[in-house]
Amino acid sequence: MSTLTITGIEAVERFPCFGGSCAALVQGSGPAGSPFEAAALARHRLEAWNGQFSRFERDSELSRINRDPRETVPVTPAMAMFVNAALGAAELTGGLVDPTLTPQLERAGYDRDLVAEPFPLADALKLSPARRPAGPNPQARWLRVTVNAAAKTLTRPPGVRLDTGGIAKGLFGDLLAGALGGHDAFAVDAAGDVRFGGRAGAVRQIKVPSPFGGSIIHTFELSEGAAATSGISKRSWLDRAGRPAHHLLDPSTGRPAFTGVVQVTALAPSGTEAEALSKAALLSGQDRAASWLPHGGLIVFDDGSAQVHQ
Amino acid sequence: MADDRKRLVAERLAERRRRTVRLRKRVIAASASTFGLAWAVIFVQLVSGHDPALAHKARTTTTAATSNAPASRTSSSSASSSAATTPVTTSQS
Repeated sequence: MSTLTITGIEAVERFPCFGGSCAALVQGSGPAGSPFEAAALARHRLEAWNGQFSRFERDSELSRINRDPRETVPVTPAMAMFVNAALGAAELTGGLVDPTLTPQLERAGYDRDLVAEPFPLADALKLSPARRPAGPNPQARWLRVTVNAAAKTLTRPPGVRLDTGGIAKGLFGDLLAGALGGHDAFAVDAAGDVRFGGRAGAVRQIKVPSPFGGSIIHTFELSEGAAATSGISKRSWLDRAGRPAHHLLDPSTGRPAFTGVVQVTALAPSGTEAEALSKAALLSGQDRAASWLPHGGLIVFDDGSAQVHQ
Repeated sequence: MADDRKRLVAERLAERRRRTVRLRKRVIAASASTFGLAWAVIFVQLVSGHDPALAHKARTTTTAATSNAPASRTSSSSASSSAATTPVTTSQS
């Protein structure tokens, strides 16, 4: 007697989220139910977090916290986790990844969801200032931000407003990995931050598009971990003074960073770490970017050349 | 005369039996061929990852999801069936 068994069914949910396109992919039944149920669960959680952590939604928890004049404010457990992750990223990168640059981001023009076509990277590079590595903000305001997880409170100096940046997306991928890790295979794409794994140890292709046009310039093949990509081409515009701008700021100047590196993909065991490493690598400039990729990754330079680190 | 009629009847009956057997064999062969062909088509379809039951489930989910989403948004669900995982793209976040 023979039995026909069909394996490898992958449920896929694709949906808009975090100002981009998100996806949840699950193979095999597991703790979160069938592959379809698990993918739907991931989608619902990502959409809920999107509403909770958006800087552009007036009623989001983040916006309410940023408006709150009190030095210490109550927060949800998810917000407490995010702030801890953001402070961890700041510590890991020596302040290069700084979650307290919201006023500078707004001054640079990133005060709303960017829906217009990005300013072409090649043109931005022609108009941009001389290349230089970014540095931490000497005031290091993030050092004065604390979270009391037991009391569910956040304390920060008056006037300090937080931005989720990409760290939140990395964290959400990590949280979903906890729910989906018991399935055969899964991948969560949080608007470009990818977390993947599964008990079957299946290899998954992770594709990296070029910042100069979108064609795939490299494909990693991995079974578990995270990949995050930071770059200056997707969210880019001309500011009020006609200068090229983007959302990755040099904390030392509060201005968009032009370091000679235009895009970095970092691999890491967790999404939070991958996100922090990719940003730190880009901000560090072309000479030091590779030192931020201990788990591997891909660096794309101003001239379009790319370096793969396995 | 009577013997001739009996022989004729017997021959006709024998011919009818042979014809019945012949038709029965043809019907059985045609049925078996049709079943085998249908089975092979469905087998190939499932193995190649195009289970219509799964495709139907995905469409249902898509409809439900889209109806709950704002008009300006689009979303989709689907199922793919293959031994490998679906590639994903890491892009600037």
